[in-house]
Amino acid sequence: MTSDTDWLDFQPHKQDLGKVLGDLEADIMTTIWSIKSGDVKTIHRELNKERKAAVTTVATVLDRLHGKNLVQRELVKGAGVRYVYSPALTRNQFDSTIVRNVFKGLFESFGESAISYLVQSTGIEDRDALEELRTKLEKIKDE
Amino acid sequence: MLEVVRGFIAPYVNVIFISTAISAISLLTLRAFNIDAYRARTKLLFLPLAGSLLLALWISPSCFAHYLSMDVVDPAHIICRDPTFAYLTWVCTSWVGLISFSYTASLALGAISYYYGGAIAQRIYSADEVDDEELGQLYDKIIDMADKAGILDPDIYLLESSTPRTFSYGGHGWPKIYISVGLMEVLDEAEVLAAIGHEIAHIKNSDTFLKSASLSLKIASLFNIVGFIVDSMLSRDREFLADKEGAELSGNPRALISALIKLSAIESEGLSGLVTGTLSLSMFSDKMSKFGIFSRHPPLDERVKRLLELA
Repeated sequence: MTSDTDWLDFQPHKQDLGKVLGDLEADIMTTIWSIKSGDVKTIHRELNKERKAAVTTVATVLDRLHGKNLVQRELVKGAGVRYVYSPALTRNQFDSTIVRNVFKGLFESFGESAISYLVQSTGIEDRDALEELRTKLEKIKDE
Repeated sequence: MLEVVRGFIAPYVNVIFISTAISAISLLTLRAFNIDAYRARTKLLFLPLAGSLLLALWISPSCFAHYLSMDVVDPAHIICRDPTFAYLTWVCTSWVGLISFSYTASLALGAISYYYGGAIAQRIYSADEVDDEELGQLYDKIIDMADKAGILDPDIYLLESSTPRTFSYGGHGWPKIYISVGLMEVLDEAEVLAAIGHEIAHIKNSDTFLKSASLSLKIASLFNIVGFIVDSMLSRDREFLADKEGAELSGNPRALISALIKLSAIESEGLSGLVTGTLSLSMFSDKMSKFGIFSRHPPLDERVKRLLELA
């Protein structure tokens, strides 16, 4: 069984969505978020405005995204069959899932360093605010 | 003692050398054979594989003769009192064991591939049977092609996947055709029909049986490497034949060409791709095509070239 965040393989040196998805996967997700829903041919047509990819490849990648629970699909019957794809997560939900899981992973493995970097980078000096931040971070870690 | 031991090791060496030599000679003969005579060549292709099998059978009686020459079957006597005799018995036992194992395995795998390949694929892809309610006119056109080929109406299964693929199982009396949702998403109707025509031609030509038999012989010939090459040649020949007859069934060689080109872009897909490539007659299995002589599907440009001659 795949869990909801099986797709999350964070690669910090890559750009944008490439940090968690393959190049084509990222472009296809962006297309689906923008058109809300569509079949393979529609998604392929929209995607080809930005980059070239064979319709066969798009279909295969959509299968993979469905396997990762990032898109959902509905079978439409009659005169042949086809799937209509739509995003399983909104862009906001997708982003916050990444942030939550990446921070959780950092705190679990590198607690002190992660917190000290975070504090330094936010420039907070007030002791109470720091304490409050620490409590919040501990809470996230325990989730 | 050395002489006797050498005499008994010799069969092992012989079987490898002689079967490889027979297979290699057959292979060279086959290369000279008219490449379009697919049907005639299929029969010849089994020669080297059968040659290996006969050699294995020829070795076994000498081992049984050795067993018969033993006065007492007594493990203590065999191991302790007469080391030469014990060694010979060990060689024979391992040989007979190897042969029994490979024959049993070959028959079992051949039978599984023939009878249960469809069920395995159905489970992997969670495929459901569909009819005209789902496929509309396409269903009727598939049935028309099956009638034209002289096979029973096929059971059609829908694979829950956007990756375009189609493959078939069974014989004239129990044809089964598998098509993925992706096949209908990516190909237009003429291309879908041409691809399914190719699969119907496989069933008409009893290729499921041939492929299972070839798999059995390949294992029974103790994985002789030439056996693998010949098995792949057989598979490629049957693909060419299915292309030719499939194009005749759909009456549209050009649609089959464009279907093949579109399907050739499929990315390889781990286990599922490997299983269907091995057990079934898939339309296009790109997994092995990098390896030339071991490829079970012919190169795309050669298939297109031969189809263009029909167009």
